Amino acid sequence: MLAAKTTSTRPASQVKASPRMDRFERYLEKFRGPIYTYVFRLVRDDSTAEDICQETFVRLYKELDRIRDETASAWLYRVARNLVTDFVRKKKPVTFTVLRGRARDDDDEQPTLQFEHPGRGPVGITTNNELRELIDETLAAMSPKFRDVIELVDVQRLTHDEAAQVLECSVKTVSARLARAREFFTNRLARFVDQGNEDGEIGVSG
Amino acid sequence: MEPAQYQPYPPELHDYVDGRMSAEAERDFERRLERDPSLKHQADALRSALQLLHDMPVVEPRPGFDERVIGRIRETDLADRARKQIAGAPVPLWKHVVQIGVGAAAAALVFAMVGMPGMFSDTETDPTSGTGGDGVAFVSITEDDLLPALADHVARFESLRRNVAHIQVTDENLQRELVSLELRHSDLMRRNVWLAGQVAELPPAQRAGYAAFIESLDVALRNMEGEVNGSFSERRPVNLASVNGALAAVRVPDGRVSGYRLNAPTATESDVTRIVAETKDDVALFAEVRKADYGHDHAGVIRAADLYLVSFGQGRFKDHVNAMAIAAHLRMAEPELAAKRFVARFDDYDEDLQPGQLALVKGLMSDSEFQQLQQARQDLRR
Repeated sequence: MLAAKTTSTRPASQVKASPRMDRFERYLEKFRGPIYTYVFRLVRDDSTAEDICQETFVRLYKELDRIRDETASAWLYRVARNLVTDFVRKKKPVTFTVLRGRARDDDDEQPTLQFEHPGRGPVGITTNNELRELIDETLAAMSPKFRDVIELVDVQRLTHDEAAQVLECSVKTVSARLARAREFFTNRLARFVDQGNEDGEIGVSG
Repeated sequence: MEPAQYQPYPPELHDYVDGRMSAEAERDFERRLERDPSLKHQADALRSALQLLHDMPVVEPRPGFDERVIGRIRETDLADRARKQIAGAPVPLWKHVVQIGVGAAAAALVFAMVGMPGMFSDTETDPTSGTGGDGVAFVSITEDDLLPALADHVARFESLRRNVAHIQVTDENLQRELVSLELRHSDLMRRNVWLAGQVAELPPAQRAGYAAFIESLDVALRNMEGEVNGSFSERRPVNLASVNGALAAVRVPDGRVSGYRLNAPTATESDVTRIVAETKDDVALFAEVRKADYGHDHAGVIRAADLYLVSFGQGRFKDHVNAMAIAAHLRMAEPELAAKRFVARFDDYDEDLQPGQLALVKGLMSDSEFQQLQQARQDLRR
């Protein structure tokens, strides 16, 4: 189960304050939600996401002296992603493929996205939850290399440079994959994005 | 738009919506948009689609995440300190750990932490790598060294086996969650891998019984894990009979390890007060009882059980946590308190118990503990 919103609740008296711990806590406060969201969206299991996030932040603490503010975000996402990858390798078959049912393994250098008829979107979707499900299904239908980049740049709002650091590829590769992923996504969600243009009421927040 | 009409997006469209163009290129592109309705439509559609992605909600972890992370950091720091002190130790590790002043009471904990590369992977060459490494100095292992860790392992296994055998909920999702909870909090999978490596270093005469235990436990744990994953993906209940069968087949070692008495907690105390304050979830609080149990923190079991009962007096696990608290009293050499609790929470006479209650109490402790409880109940009546 997921807590809708939470804030840090640790009493200050529990841990001795130190500049290092203060800095760590600032990172924890800033990245707790984003990293957990990112991991949860990959593994779809709250306890697994919790374990992976905990490990990510423990590693951050240990490496804190070597991490600069500018690179902290990319570093955290990279560690989290590597831990997820490890988890998936060891636990197959689980979450990625099982939960969504449509993840594909054909992650080669050939384009694997299938552009579908833009008007094929499900009929009768009316609620934000259903729309979110459709968004998740659409992302899950992408091969991992495209999904990775759209998750990092368009959901998590990393810059192209940061995404390239996380994915350990060039910025050019990020941009190219992102373009294809976005086209796929936009076409799959065509019904909603067109409605949004007409009605000006698009949104899945809340 | 029909498929035949589909036009790929020009690459610069993405730069435009991302604001990654120079001012001049942006002005040129906007003039193109004015002239080309189809391109304008693509730009609007792309912006709207991206807005959907930008608006995806942030998911927060369970309350108390920061405390749990900081708790792990403390554990890691402790392991670091111990590791530094024993690095290069020429004498058996166990004795050295005691000598360095960590204290005999906490020695089992420190021993486990020091030698658990997968668990406290804090000396990796590449911290961004997903796999763990270890920098523990090589020290030859003897059976004496391993006894605390083995006894802890056996106790964790017994606790897991008993608890899974007494899962009494019918909801299949909750059943799966509980089995998964046992796997997670017992930490047996990671510990088993580590212990297998340690046992392999023992002289052959000492090794066989422990190796059989570890190998058969590995089979049972994999069965559990497979059942959890399989039941989830196939949308079916966990096959508890299969899990229990596999656990029953584990070959628990006897001999010296069975006589080794664990006195100290091997896990950090859980902050059950906070859990109660911040959650209405009885499973989360039940999990705290289980965590304390796996850590041999008997006082913690009783404290968590009491808090569970305060919060969820009629909760789904009330009998279960009561039974665990009774067992915890016995393990703290408090048979009278165990008996009083039994009477207060269940009843004085067996015939007054609801079906399953006595079996639950009996099932969550060893035969000798149950005999102790029966004796204490008799003494209480006198």
